[in-house]
Amino acid sequence: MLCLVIPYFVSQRRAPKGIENGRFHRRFFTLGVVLLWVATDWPLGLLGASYLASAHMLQFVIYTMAVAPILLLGIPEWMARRLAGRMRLYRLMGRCTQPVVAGLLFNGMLIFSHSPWAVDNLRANQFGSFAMDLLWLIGGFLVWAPLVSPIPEHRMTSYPGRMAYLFLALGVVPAVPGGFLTFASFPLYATYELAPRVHGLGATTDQQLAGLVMKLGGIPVVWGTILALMYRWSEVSRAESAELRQSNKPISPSGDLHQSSTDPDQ
Amino acid sequence: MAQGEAPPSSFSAPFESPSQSSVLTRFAVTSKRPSGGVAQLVERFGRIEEARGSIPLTSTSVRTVTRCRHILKFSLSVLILLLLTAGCAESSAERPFSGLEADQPERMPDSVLVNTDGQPFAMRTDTEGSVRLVYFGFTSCPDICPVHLAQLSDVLARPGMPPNIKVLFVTVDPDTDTPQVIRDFLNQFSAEFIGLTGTKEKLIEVQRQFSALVASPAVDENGDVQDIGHDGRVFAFAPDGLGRTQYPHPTRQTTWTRDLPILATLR
Repeated sequence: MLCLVIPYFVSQRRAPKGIENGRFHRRFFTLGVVLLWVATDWPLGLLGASYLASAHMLQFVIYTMAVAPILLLGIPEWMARRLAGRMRLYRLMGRCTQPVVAGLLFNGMLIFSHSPWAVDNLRANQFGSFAMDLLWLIGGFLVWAPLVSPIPEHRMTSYPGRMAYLFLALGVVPAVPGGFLTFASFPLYATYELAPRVHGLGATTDQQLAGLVMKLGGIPVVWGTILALMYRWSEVSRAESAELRQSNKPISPSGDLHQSSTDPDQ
Repeated sequence: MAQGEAPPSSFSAPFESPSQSSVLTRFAVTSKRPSGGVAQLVERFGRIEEARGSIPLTSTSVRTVTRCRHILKFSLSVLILLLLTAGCAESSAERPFSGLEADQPERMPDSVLVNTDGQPFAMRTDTEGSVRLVYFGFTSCPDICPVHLAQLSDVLARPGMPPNIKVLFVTVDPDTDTPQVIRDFLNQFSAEFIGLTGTKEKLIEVQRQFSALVASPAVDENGDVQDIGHDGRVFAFAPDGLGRTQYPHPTRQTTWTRDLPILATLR
């Protein structure tokens, strides 16, 4: 976590001259780090790593649905450009943030990281657990980048496209493994099945809960964002049509606006 | 290379008959891939085939044949490997139990201990006609004991499981585990589970009778018991009284669900 916080605030001090360092970014970044800490540390981190599949899934939802987009919103454009330039990642980022690529990569990561093989092998040790957390965070960055990337040209421009992307990449596909977990007749993950029970929660019940968290956990974020996009789209369309109407109004030779009798708004 | 200009390739020469050679010079057959679109390629080879009555054997086609041979060899090896694996899988499927199967099933000892009601309990005769799952543990065990019992509780609650299954929990820590403590502990999993205790000597004797590792407490410098090392296996006896299989920690629910109905039928 310090690897994120220290470089961020150090580079904030080295911001290019003439660019305002908005509080907006810093607040979002701080919120993202706090959420990351909540998802990683005790008790959720410990429960998710060794005891409860539902806690594991809650961690996943927090990482990908909250931490990743909030951290992206907390990165100013100049910082992202500088980072991409120094690490020679600009082109790679451009390719990975194409909606189809980002959606496929995220969902591939989602299916891999929730496969019994990956969970049982990675959760068995601290390094593997860390790798899984990192994978989720990178997956979250990837899937949210076409919507909230700090680099404007990496963002999708069309509102319907954004909404469709959000629905397909974050709404539809995660429901499939979620369904598997909810309706599986046996516990899929040995790690959680063979762990001491927490508050008497059975392994199968815990897994069903995990499936529900996966299926329903993202819904408020996905649909909330879709609603916000829809609202913004309607606002933009209204503003555009008003502008268009303004520009179409003929001007009389005397310079006064001529009120047309065929104006549909009248 | 323009059509008609190129000489016939070295690969095409042995297949040419004198009558065909004049025809063939009109259609260049080279080792190089002919230039042009797919349609041109198809047309060209079609015409050659028409002229010869066979597909021309160029260096490309020789390479293709060699490649095909390699692919065929590889496929054959994979097929043999798959067949061998299938053979192995079949041999493992022949085993009736997923647990640790006993080569020589032994008869269940009929040790008499004390149950949680304080009554004497004969481990075999009082559970006649049932599958008996015998486990040696202690109530303050942090991991293996609760996990085994929780797994069994989950599995036995599944629909379709045979009703004649008895879980016998024998304490290895009689000083701490009084009948009431054992009952309270077992009730967290199932009220049907049977808890048993006895004197230290009797409990050691019973563990030996079941060929279990005798539990040994680990004490610190003050003489306080820190932990108890004990056998993590569940000993399974069929209704016929024979110990068919054992289940070490960890045993998954799929294993239990597969084996218990089979055990229940062995009368």
